[in-house]
Amino acid sequence: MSSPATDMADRAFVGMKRQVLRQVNHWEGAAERLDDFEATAPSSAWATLERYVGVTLRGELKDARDQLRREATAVRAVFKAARSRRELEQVADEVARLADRYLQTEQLVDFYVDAVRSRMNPELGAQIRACDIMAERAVGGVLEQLGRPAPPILTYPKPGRGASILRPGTRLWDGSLSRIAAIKITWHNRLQPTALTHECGHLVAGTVGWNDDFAHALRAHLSASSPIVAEQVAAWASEIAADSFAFACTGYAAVSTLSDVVAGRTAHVFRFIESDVHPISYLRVLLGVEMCRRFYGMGPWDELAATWRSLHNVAHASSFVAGLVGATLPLLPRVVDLALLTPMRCFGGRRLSDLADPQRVAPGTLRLMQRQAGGAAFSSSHWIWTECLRLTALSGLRYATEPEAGPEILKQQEDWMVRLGNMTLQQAA
Amino acid sequence: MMLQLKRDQSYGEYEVRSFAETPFLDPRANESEEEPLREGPAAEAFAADYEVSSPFVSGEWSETGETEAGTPKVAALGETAAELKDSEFREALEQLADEALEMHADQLAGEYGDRETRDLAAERLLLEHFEPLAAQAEATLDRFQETLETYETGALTEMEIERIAAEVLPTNQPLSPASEQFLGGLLRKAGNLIKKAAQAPLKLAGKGLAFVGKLALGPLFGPLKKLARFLLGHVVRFALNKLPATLQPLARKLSERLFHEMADAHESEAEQYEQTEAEGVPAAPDIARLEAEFDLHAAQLLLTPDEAEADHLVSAYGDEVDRGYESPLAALDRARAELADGLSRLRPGESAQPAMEQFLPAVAALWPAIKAGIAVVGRPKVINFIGGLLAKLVAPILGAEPAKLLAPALADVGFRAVGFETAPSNPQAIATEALAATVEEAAARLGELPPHVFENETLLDSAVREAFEDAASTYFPASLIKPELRETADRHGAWKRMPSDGREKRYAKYSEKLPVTITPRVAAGVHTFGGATLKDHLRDRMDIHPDRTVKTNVRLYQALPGTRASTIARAEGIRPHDLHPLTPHAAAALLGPAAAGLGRPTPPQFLHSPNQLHLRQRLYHIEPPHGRQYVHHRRHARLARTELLISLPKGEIQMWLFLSERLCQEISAELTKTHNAAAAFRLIKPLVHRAAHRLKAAILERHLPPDLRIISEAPNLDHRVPAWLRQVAHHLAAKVDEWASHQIVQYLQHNANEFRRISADHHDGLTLHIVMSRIPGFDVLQLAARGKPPKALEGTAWLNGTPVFVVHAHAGHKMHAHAHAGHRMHAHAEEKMHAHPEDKMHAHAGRKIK
Repeated sequence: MSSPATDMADRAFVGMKRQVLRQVNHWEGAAERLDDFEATAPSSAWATLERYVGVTLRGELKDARDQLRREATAVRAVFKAARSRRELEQVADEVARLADRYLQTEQLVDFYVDAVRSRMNPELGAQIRACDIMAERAVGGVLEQLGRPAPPILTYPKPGRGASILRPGTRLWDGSLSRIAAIKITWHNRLQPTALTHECGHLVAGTVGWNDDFAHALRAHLSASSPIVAEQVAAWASEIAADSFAFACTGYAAVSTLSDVVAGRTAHVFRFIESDVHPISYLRVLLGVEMCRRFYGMGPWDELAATWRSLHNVAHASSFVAGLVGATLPLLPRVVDLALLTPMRCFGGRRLSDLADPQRVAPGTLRLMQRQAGGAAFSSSHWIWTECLRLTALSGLRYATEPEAGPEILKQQEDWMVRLGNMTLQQAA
Repeated sequence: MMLQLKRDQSYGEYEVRSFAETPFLDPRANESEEEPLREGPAAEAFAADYEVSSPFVSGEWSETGETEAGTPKVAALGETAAELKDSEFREALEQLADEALEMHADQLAGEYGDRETRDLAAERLLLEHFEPLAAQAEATLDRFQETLETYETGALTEMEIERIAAEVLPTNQPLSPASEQFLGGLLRKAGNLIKKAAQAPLKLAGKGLAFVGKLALGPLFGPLKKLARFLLGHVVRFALNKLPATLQPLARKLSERLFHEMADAHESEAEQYEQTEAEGVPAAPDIARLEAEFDLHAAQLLLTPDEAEADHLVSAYGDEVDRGYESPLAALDRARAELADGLSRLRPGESAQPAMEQFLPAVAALWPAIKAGIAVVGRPKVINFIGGLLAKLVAPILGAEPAKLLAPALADVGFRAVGFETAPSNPQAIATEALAATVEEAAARLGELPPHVFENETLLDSAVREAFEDAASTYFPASLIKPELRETADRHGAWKRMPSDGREKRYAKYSEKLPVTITPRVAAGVHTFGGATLKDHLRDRMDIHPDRTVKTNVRLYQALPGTRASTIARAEGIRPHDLHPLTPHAAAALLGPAAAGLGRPTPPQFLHSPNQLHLRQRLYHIEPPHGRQYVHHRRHARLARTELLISLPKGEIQMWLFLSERLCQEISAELTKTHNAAAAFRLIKPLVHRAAHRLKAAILERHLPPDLRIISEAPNLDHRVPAWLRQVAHHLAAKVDEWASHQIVQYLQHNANEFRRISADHHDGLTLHIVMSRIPGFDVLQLAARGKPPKALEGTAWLNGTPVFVVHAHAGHKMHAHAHAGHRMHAHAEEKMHAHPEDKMHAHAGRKIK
């Protein structure tokens, strides 16, 4: 015969067990139903992914879900084995951890599924797919020469001012490592995808170790002028590297588009945040202009620089920023040399300009290509397929130099990007 | 001929010299001397005594020359069927099959239920898959018919029919590219039939197709819709490998009445062909056959006197879909499993002959009909003989002991890399699989032999040994094979049948991927399918600049029974048209002379397209250059290609040159840069030569290649190379080359701007269509085709002069575009330009070269 106290304890135990069981059921069920969540992106959207990207991505999502399920199964096993209140309390902790893990995994699935879902509209899907192809060209074109495989790349559009990248090997929300590169392109700039090449620059730099080599070179070669400035410029190395890569791929278009994105109130243009890896916007644009001058001589970028300087007077910057800008401006030609024309260990002793020659996207070369292709430049699948990056450079150049024709240029860019995207479209399963 | 087989030595005697007779090195040579040799108990004799009086049907087949024209009906049938031929339609059928298999791969891969149930379920699944397309085809043909019937017969010009066809093609339906291509091709075929009908309305009135100045097309379109639906049924059977790979002559598909008419007028069509030398055995049915059968039935609709006969014709075509035909492939799959099982169960010293004899009929069923007949008549003897010999050849490496010796070498060659996981745990399984593969391939190869070899014991003995040696050097690593028989001197891979798990082996794969360096010169010198070169492939499909040297790897594959290029492509995650024929020349050029043995001599008829392979044919796939592991692939990047049509009744030669998008942009850039037609012509010249070469090379083949069509008065349903062509092909090809070159140069000189304008069109590539008429010497050819070759044929004087010509340029791939030379065509072309802005231009009509 049991005592009333024991009965009460038993009842409390049973009650607690029921509560914990409900929670176990809830999170275990939620983990099971994550498959349905993935299915919210229709098969037609999944089919717009290049096969290897789709396979890798689905594999990654499946692994994440399987891991979560295994954890849920383990929690249920612990629950079944619980024989005491103390053990049940431990199970409740485990359930709370499982809930956290579920939410992390859900965030991961949401991130990718949302990226895939953004391709549901056929036209927009084709444009994004064109971005996939251009990214692969930009990254593969350089990595191939270095004997390095390019990772699968998934681009997706999002609102916002700037693009961004989630590199392969990044630790994701659920603790796993990403296997594909996910590049965010912005809505406003999706028809001028030079920012895409900037993000590709980050991918290349991260893959071959360019950021460290470049930072080291900046420190070594600029210290003689000013160790403090050298240290600061070296802290911006990764962004300067990405800008240089974008310039090598798309020439002046990269600079003019960048200036459009970072332009704003003068305070914004001169904003300096100590831990920010982005250079002060004022310097960033002028560095791009310096690249153009170094490789192409005089040109429309001179007008851009003059306007930029007159719109944003250094006198309006804080004294620290004015000093930093004043000390850095004379070093820009050296920075350009170090970024594009200096052999790097990570490039097998070659220079960036050997791997991606900015002369291929020089205004004169682009105009020559346009003349040779004639009317076919933006309509022939050959030109669109093989020269998509240079056509983007050409469109960007024209957009910068013929603003009165801006809407037609963007329409033309949109049309051929849709064609490019559709060239590889698989049939939806 | 007597077939005499003598009792062989006892197993004991044979053991002593066993390795000497096989292609294998004696593995015991590597063992320590202390280890005693395995003693084999006496085995029963491998073959019984035979004394058989001629077991074979005496072959008295002969191919008669084309001496007489057929009756007008049969001639019209031949001409119509030849004109219906459409490479894009054929391509669409192949792609439809692939699409369906790809889309339902998961369901089709199921292993539940017995084979028959699975087969039925698969067939039902694919028929359901094609149902929407079948409905769409019927609806499209209905719309076509309704529109056509509103026209006066006289107004139905070729251009108008094409325009209406383009108009009725569904544009707002979510159709796959292959489905669109199928519907487009179907309408072209229907349009061609209408053209024929419109050209002879009076004659057709009797068939109910013409009615007071207008066509009443119900009697034609009704059966045509049914044929289209049945065709999709045939595509399903094709996709599921349920069609026989070797088939009877097409004339057998004629209605009884027409067959007799044709047999009376033209015996050769109904005759069998006599094989006198070794020939490749098709690995799988040819999609071209499906098209040819459809065309023949469609063409007959114009000749059927009444509705009842048309109904009969259509239902006969449809019956073939319903008839439960079991493909020999299914039987082979079963026999293969039994052979592996039988070999692995053999006790030491036991003969493999019973297992061989049980297995061989399944392979013999794949042999061409002519040899299958022999095998049926003399089957017990022939199978006994071959089985006995094979059993003798495999005996030294049967059993657990030899397997243990073989396994390490087999495992060494990287079998795990191709999915064979049992290496460490089950050496006997590896050895048995290699042995079973060797036996099957040796037996399959016997199907290539001419019948006379089967009539002579010694010849057959020698052929079996040779086949076994070759097969063993394929499936066993070089280290186990005698040096003189090894496929390569410096590679250590071996071939493995895939998929490695499961009895349905569908292709073989070489265990190593081999590094290659492809220089521009090598690329230009190595031919791939359809007469194209690797240069074309690298340029048009891999986006590699023609000046670039490519360093990459190749993967090698081999066709087994049932292999189509798409079978390999699906399993390997590549595209069918990225597979190339690994001939000894290609192997030597790409892999070096020491690896030339990895190539396989391939008869010309199996070099036309990756869609028709022969058993044991070798293929290779070029991986994207190093580092480009992940690349986007373009859909439908077509290679530059040519087609040639010689029509004796019309006195016309038509040549189509499809310039791939990349090539046409290069030409366009040359025309812009240099304003000089010479540089541009240099880029087109290889294509003109290729067309001429196809004509010249046709004399070495039995059937015309798919890109060469010849219409003469005598029907030629099976597209045999006509006897008269063999006499004149060489000279005619040289002249066609000369004429076409002159015409294209003249075209480029006068029409550079138009060429550039058309190149800028959004369609992929550009088709140059050259129509030559009033051709010098055609009267002579017509006489020759009637079997009355004049003496003038000896020299080339009869071809002197120049034809009248027209050159059209069309945007995109328009190999089916039809045209007629002369002023009439000129007028039509102008008309068409207004109707179809994308249809380029009409170069110059009736211009004569001085």
